[in-house]
Amino acid sequence: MDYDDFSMNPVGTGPFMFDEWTPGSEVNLVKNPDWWGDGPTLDGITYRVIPEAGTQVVELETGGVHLITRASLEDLERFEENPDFVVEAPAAYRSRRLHFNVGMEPFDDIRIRQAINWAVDMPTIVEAIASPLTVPGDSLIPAPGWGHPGEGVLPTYGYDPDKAHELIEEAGYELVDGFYEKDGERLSFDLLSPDYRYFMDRDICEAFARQLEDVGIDVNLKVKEWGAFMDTVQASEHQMCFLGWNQSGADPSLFTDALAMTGGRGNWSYRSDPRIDELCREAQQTTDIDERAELYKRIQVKIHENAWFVFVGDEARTFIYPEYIEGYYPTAAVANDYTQVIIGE
Amino acid sequence: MFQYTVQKMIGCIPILICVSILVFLLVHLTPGDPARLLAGPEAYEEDVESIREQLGLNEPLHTQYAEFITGAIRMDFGQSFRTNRPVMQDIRDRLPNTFQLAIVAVTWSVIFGVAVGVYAGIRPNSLGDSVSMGVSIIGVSAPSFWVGLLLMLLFAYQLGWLPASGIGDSPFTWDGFSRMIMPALTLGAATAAVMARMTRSSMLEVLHQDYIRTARSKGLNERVVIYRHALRNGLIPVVTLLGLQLGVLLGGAVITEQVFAWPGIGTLVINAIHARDYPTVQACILLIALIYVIVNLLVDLTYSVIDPRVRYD
Repeated sequence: MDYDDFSMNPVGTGPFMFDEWTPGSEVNLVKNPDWWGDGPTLDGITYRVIPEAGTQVVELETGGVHLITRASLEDLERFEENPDFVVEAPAAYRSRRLHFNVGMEPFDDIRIRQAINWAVDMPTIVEAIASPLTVPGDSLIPAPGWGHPGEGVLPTYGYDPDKAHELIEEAGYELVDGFYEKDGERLSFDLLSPDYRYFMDRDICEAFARQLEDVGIDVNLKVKEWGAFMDTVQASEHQMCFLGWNQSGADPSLFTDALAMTGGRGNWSYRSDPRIDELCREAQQTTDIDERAELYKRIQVKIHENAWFVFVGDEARTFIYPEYIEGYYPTAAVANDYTQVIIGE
Repeated sequence: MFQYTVQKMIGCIPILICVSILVFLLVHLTPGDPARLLAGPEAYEEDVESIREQLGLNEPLHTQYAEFITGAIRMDFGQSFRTNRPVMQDIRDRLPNTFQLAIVAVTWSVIFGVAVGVYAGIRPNSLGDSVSMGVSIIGVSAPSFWVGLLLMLLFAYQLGWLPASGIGDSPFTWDGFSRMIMPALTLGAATAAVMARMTRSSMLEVLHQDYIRTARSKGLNERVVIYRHALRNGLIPVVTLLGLQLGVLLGGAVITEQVFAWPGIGTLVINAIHARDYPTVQACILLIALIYVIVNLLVDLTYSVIDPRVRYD
């Protein structure tokens, strides 16, 4: 069997086996009779490709499919009010944040980064625009993960525009016609957003930009298609950008090592702090879970002090299914457990 | 006619070469690194570099083009970056779906459009003419995603008569046919409306010609005058339009396919563009160009069948 045959005939040990793939249409899985665990109760699963969220919704409501994983906010609210359907949105290991490119002006000055954090009421923006699918967050480690010390433990910036004004003025800027200027140059930057790669990303960016304009910072929002967006970010040509990080596991190193260590593969703020690198390495080599949790708490406090990000929140996974489906328990991890699912009447 | 056809086909070669250069440059110059998109934002840089090497993206542009064009001559467009299958296999899987949808859409839109156009054309400024032309304006103006969703809400959601989306195993079974009805109606709606308007104006023009007056003065039945004398001559611009529309529909009706989750060429191209799947985009665009060329050649040849005065000797 060559590589191509192998990729088209996957082999595994799970409760379902690959049966057939119709490109662009569906993937069929059948029950694995030799599975070691309990179940599965279903004879098989068909994953259908339905690109439009609106079509997914109609298919669910007409019984064409049993489960959908995407819906607009309006549809979600409608399903929540409908007793015939169950809406679940378990928090997932998906953190969302705005990255300052620390190597670029004006974000090479920590006071400006801190000022922006004080100037924006991000929890309210998230609650207003992306709730309940995104919950406000205060760290790059998502709240469901054990590396997050819990609500209210980590220091946060809060919303205090006066403090923001103080810090900007301390950095040498003065307010002229409603906008801050230094040496005749306006305090302004480009904010790069993907085009709905993440839930309500560009809407959150728009609200963020509007709040910064209220304190005198000029923001140019630039929305790019994902390929072009990643090109700009990889080339470090952005000043600030909206990004997410999804992981299937709960270990905090999956977030800190990639996003905060020097040269990390998701270090799109392009910054370096030897103390954070040292703490991350120490956490990697520590086996005691309590000690590790303490180390990750210190890492998160250091990240807060450096003000490399404006934390947006943690995005949930969405599952909507008819109430007659039993035994389905969505989790924070990417893998779904369908072994005990029963389709009732 | 044979000589004309051969000449036309030879004339297509430079067009296709130009298209191949254009599409190659466009996809390669569009921002977005296929290796990065394939690996995902969470991937390690070494993995991205290894994918880039594996896909041959580190080769100079002219080498990549030479490989593409020599392969294209043999109808071998290489492996898809996204599905890791031969591009021609992906196209072979999708093309029949696009064909069946386009053929059904064109068939109903031609029958309906021409019938309405003739009806309106022979009764200018009547109530029927105004209503049919008013409806056709809506047909032309309504965006296909809106028409598609409205049909879906009516026939799938409210009435429950038709499945909302997807494709059946065969168009000759009720499941397959019922899944095709709404996409075909959506896809053909604009074409039917344009056909109706074009046929009406063409009929109006022809009906004022001297030979129609002569036919009537000979005492010919009005039905014969309209269908044998007027409609046949009025069809020339309609056939031209049909050729253009057929090209568009066979090229993949992207929006309709997206709305109805119809796995055709349109969705293949869109997904390939998003993933910067260069071989698939290049192959599909070249194929669409080829379809246009062939359809328009067929349209040219049809003129001589409709109107014997047109000769290609």
